[in-house]
Amino acid sequence: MKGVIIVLLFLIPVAVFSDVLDTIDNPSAFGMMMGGAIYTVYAGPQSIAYNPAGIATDDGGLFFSHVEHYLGVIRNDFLSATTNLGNLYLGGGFQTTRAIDTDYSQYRFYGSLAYRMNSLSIGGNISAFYGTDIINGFSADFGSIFKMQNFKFALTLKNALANITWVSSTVQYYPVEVVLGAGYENSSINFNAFGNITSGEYGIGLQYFITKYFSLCAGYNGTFGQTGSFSIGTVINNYLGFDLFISYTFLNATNFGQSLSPFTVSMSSDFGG
Amino acid sequence: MKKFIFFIFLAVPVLIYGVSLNLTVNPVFLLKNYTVTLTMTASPLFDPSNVRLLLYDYSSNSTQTLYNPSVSSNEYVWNYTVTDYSDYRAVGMVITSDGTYLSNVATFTSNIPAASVESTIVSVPFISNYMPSVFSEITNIGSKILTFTAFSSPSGLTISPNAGQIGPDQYETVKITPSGVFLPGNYYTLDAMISTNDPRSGMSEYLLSRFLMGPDGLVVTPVQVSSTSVSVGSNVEFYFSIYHSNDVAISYVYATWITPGQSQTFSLSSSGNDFASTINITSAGTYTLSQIIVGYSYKGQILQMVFSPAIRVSATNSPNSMNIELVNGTNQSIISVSSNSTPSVIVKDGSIIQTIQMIKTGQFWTGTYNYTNLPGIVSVNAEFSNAPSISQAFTKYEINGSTNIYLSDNGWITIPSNAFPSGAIVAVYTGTFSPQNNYVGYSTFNQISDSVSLSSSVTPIASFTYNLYFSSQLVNGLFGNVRVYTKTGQTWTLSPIIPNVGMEIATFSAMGGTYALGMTTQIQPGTSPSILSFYANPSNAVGPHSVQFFLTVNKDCYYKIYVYDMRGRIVGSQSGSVVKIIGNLIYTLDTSSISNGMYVAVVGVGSLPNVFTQSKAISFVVSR
Repeated sequence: MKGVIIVLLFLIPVAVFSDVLDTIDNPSAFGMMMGGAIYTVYAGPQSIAYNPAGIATDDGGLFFSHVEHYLGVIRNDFLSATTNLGNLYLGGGFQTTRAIDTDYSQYRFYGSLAYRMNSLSIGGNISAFYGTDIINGFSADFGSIFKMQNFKFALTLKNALANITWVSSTVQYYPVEVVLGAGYENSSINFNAFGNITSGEYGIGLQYFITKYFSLCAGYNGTFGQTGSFSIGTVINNYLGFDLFISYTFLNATNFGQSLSPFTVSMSSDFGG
Repeated sequence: MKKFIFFIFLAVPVLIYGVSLNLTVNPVFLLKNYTVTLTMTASPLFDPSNVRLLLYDYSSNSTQTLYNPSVSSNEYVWNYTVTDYSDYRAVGMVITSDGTYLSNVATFTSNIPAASVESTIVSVPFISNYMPSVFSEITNIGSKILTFTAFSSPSGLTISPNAGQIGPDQYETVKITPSGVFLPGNYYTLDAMISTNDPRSGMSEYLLSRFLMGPDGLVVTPVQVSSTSVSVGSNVEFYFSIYHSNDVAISYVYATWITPGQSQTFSLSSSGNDFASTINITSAGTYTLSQIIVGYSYKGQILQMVFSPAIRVSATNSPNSMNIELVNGTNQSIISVSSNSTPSVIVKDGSIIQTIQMIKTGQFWTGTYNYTNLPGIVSVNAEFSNAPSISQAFTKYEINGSTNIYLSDNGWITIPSNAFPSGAIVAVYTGTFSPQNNYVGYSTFNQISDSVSLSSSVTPIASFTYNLYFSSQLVNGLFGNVRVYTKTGQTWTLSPIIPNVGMEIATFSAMGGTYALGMTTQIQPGTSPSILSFYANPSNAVGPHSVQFFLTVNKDCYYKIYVYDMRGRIVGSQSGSVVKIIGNLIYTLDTSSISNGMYVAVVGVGSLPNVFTQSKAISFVVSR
């Protein structure tokens, strides 16, 4: 255990905003409407993109999300699935990001594993990268969620050991990102926050449960020193066998007269539940 | 058998007391088909009909007997034409009633090496650094190997090859090139000679070429450039000197550079015997100083001398840049370098070579150099550990009366005679426009012209006339939008000076300072502007690049551009105004500090600042 801690300490970089891996890391509508702050949430298959410990929930199954960023120039699709063997949870995911005006694509494949022990769960991802300019790439994520009564905490190490070999034969290495999360949850609200001390990104999100099947969300996401984005959204649970997530994000709308990345739509099917 | 008999004659001479015969031959060495004279001296009492010559030919192994010599006093003379390459032996014979008398044996030969050279005389009335080579042929017209050694007398000619061997009926071509230092005003006679093994009398040395040089003329020193490998944005100095005699007057000096995609011709003015100018390196590629033309007059003749230095300067893109600011009223020049690494900056000002102490101030490394009060070019060279060097230069002129200062882009500044009452040193710097953020708010600069910075050691009392050039394609017919901008510190502001704008030229007058041409917007509120095109160049920045963003709109308007990464973070932004021209350069993103991957640039346009009515997004890729 001490060895693991030492390794983790080595992986934690100095808290400067480094040149991190440039990929879409907030692909789901639920994540968007919560300002990206779902690192402390057991969100099922979509947690693969945030905190792999979050897949350790019985709300497993299939998840799909689609978003058109930046006035529709960037299209991102995220498909993931999880299942469990007792307290051991398995997952896999696929993410594609395409630029429609330059015919450029990136692909990311996930493999996930998580284990839940009462109030604590831990998990990990390994990812492979391919794309138009990418020969191959690799990264690993490690995450944990700890609940203490209504409070919850999360530590996620994203993109550990990340490297990408570009078609120019350049191999680029990226720093591990340390993401801290905290939240409070009861029967009415689900409040969460996160901070990425490596990249300077942060976010807060509030989910308000109107009924068991319907909730409203609002969140704010940003990067230290920059103007962020405000999002609202709704979650409809168990609608025709699906959970439906729709968010609307005001990304730099005041500067450009319209939001650059307004709608994100996600849905999940609870096969595992 | 005949040879045997001949030797019997020789071996058994018959000597009669009181009778003496002496046979001589001339020449001893001769060529085939030439005639040899054999002379025998004897008593005139002999009957010529009884005098004969026995001649033995080694190559044909035969003996001939020659009769009927011509007689003069006591000399008997035979002329014999040699018909082949051979060695010969001869003996004279006199037959009398008393007996037979023989002379001594004389030998001659046509079996020799023999040189034949066509000599030339070259007249070089004007001494220059470029004198043509002369070619001369050495032919072996003999029958044996000819060896030769060439030399210059006096030294000053290079002869190639300078030694060798030539077989019979073969020839060797020899190149003779003047290589010495010849100052105008003197006569020089230089001979290219060869020394051979030709045995013929007086034939051991030959003149290949004779160069008669001077006394009038001019000499051009080798052309030099400040650097042959530079970054785009550099100012490369090139210089040389012309020396000439008093009766030669230089009329004009032109230098032609072959630059990527075009050629540029500079008219060079002199400072004493020195000629120098600079060329702005505005794009990557090879720049070749291909030709220098010197026009001069001599004794009423208009003459022209053309040189081909063929000096190449390689220019590559670099994230680093350099700018020089001349401080008016002083001799101070402030050197600013933008780079990630510490630059090593060296200034060359005539014979002065000085390392500049650079201090980092924000993004720039700055240093100061106080230039001398001597006319000439001051070149500044910055070396980097991780990037090609950058050169910039400015020129100092000694002004006494009306002067045209020629700029590197074929423009000029006219200084009237009343500008400086007592003469002055004027420094001119023609920097290239740097598409960076130091003219925020005037982003419509769009590089339509070089900038011109002028300062003087004393305050002038009259304005100068500036001529600045721009591309009419970039202006796209909007001549009314061309404005003069002035630079104060690092900030460009719209100048109150209104230029007279014509086709690709704007003329204005000013006392001095730093000026550039740009375009200003004339934004009319009301109708919303439309984005006609918005693109990034390159859209896939492979390698260490900057990415430039170009915007075309249907009317003058304001704009704002943001560049995002895939995580929604802003990696760059810019705002300003654009004009109704094709391809306003609105932003340059330095990609050296961002990660590889996909990015998006979003631009909004509107008729009011920060109120944008239309937006467009484009993606681009950084891949190093």
